[in-house]
Amino acid sequence: MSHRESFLARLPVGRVRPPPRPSGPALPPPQDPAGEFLRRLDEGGAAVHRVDGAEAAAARAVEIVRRAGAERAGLAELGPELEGPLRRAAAAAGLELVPAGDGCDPAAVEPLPAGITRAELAVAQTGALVQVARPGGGRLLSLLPPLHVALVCVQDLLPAMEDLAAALVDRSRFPEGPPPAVSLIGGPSKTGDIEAVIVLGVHGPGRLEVVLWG
Amino acid sequence: MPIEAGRRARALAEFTARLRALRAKGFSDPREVEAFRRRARAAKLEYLSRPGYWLGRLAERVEAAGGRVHFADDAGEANRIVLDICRRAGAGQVVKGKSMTCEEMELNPVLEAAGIQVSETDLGEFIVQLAGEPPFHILGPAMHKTRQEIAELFSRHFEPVDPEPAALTRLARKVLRRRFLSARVGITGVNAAACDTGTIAVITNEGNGRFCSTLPPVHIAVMGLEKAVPTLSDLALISTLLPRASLGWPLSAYVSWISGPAGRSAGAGPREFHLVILDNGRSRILEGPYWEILLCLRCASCLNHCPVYTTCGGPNYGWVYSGPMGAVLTPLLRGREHDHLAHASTLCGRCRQMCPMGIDLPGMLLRRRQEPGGAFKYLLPRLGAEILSRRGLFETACRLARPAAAALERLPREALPPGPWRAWRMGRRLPRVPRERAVKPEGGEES
Amino acid sequence: MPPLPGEGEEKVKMPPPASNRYPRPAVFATCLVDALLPAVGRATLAVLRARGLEPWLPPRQVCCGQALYKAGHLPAARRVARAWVEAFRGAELIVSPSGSCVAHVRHALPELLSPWPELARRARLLAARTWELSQFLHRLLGVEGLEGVPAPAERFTYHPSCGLHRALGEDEAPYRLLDSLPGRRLELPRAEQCCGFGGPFAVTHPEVSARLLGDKLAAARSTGAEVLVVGDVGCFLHLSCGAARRGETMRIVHLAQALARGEGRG
Repeated sequence: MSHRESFLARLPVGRVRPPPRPSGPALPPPQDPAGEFLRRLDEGGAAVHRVDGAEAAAARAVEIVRRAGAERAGLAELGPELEGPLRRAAAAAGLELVPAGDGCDPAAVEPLPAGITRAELAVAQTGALVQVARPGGGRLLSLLPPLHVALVCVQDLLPAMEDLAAALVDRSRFPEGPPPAVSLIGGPSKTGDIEAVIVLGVHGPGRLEVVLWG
Repeated sequence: MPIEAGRRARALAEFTARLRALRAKGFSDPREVEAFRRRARAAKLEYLSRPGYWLGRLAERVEAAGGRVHFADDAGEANRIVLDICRRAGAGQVVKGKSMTCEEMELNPVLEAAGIQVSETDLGEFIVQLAGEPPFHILGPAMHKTRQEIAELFSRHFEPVDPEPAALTRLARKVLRRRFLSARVGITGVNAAACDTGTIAVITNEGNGRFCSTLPPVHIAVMGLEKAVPTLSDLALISTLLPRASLGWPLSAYVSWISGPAGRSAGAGPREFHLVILDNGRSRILEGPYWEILLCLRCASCLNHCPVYTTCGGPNYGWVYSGPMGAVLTPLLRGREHDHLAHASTLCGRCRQMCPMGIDLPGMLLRRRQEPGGAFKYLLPRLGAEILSRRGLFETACRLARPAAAALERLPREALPPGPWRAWRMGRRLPRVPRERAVKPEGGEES
Repeated sequence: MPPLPGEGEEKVKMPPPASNRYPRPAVFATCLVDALLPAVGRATLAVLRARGLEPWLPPRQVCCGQALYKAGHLPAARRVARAWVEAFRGAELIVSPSGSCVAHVRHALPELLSPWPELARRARLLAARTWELSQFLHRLLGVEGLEGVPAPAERFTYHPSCGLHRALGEDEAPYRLLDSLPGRRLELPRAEQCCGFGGPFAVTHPEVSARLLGDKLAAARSTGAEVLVVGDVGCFLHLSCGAARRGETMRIVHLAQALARGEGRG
């Protein structure tokens, strides 16, 4: 027997009797998913924005970055609806966009003052932005720069955490199975480790701005 | 058990009060708590009914995704595995997220003895590591230190810095950022693991867990074997239950669900992902009557609400696990010399009430008190039982106690002979024993 | 185990039946009340009489064995449990001023006596008929308010003991009854925190016990209350002895005393 086999064989079987699984989710689904989503993120310390369309979302993102005093911003792949409007808005505002999606050298992403990403999915009930590992994705940008602007389309907003789990194992959505890394973000990086004083931006971004569009 | 004093006592009281308030604000509706508890228990119990099967599936999925899975019988073996991976990666330096399991293993000294520098990256752990002290509280490792002390520590090790939390945090960020970008290996714990998809969850508020599991080319995740649940949906439940229980928040700032080495195919992430699954006595616990402790999520709810923990503090529990869950787990993993911990409780039941998994901690502490003891343990209780069963003996004992209590009360505490009367006299006067009893012999209506 | 005096005897001396339609409540005083706190016993009797009941004190009772059980001494706890079951033999209804002792009788006694199936059966029967005083009044008799009972003080506060509120799950009865009295009940800060008695804990961990005692008295004092009402007997003894030692001006009163009219208030 291999070491692994003997390890597993050592574990008792039937030691406890599991009760039947309660049916349904722990909480009722949110009545107003978009509102709940933004409320949770706000409570988590993010700044939240609600706009109509992709154009407005792109414009808002650029405005946020420029107002923060940044002249450059790292850009992940945002998808066709946002790419065009964003490049136009950035050009108009004199904001330089640096390609900084996943696959880039982290050392090159590190010095950027801001990052603009699009969350592939989101969860309303817990206020979670969801980024999945993919080339061109935004997981480096949601980690390294001090300001993270996250664009979320309301169509990608799922009601609850169990819906997220279901989406990740849905082979029509993710043919290879769940991506090797899925990053949920509930707010800016925070700590209370020094005298219980809340400080933002410990390791991850200290500023998280979420723009919900659509 | 000695009580905390002075500034440490105040820090402990204030910090735990803060955490209780957060919990009360965000997760106190009893129906909500019960709804989560039932589902989380059902998931864990399903796992624990066939752990061998489920862990086999976990390993299979992680390996199919390109990761490696290592099974460690005990802490020594786990440490060797981690050290071996670090050596092969040529690590001079590793960055590490907070992990109770790694503290249980005493991993850091093993790596350091081999010449590998270990950088704790959770801000609180970073601070106490520099100070060479044990963590103060699982959620606030440096909560006992003032900003001045931390500034002085940082100034000595790095550069002069203002004694303000924001400035101190900025400096720590700068120092650790360099280490994150240069370390060859990142080590994290695992909050929970889904077996059907081979996914582990690493949950933080600072983001250091994401840094450790994304930037270095090698990621080692260490988990106790009890941390698994059957499905990804169960993992999702635990991922929101844990921050609710700890902080009253539906989600922490960063939750990573990792199913393999993301750096290989998908851009950002490590090229090697290793999952170390540790037994170290857990399989033995599952076989015994205290298996329910394996449901523990390490949320610290029991600590924060325990009258004894909030008075005495963590280090008094003698090991890395403290509070009610530590009082149960430590003797099970470390041996009978920690049995006294089971008596350091009033059995008030608050821990069970607040536990998100509904673990019967007081029941287990009570059971541990029943473990066989010495002859002394039988003699006096036997005498006590006779006195408390026989009316005649009881009344005689009360009659004798009356002058004895009066005499002992006249003495200063220090002059009392050792015994329960001396213990009672701490902060209390001895009771006056009345001449007559409340219960009268035959025809007992009046008193 | 050697038989206890009177064990096995069929003939048990019961009191005469009640003159009204209610069963006579057998008052389970508890060893602490019996030994040290007769006023609490008197108050319990008075509260029950005021409802038109005819309480009696089974004369052979001593203790339920809770403290021995909590200290982990099972054989000793079983011994005392057997004596308790004998002492309350034939009782149709049992009422006690101590929530923790009632919890012990209900939750631990039957199982403790499982080696003796007949005793265990009797224990289960008795456990089903055993009530803490305020629970009995509010839940069984449906009492919502007490008339003719003076205020414990103009301003008083109440410590919800772990035995009654957590072990027995009672979150209403004492509050309803106390709030029906004149005077103002002030909310006790951090009420859910244990007073630090814990049975054997009070003497095995005196420093922690004393600290928690001090915290509880300080919380009560901070409300400005003149009286602290306490439900359980262990908590009451611990807090009274602590208050006496500290020269507290705030009085400690047992719940039974607070609910009793005039002569029962001791």
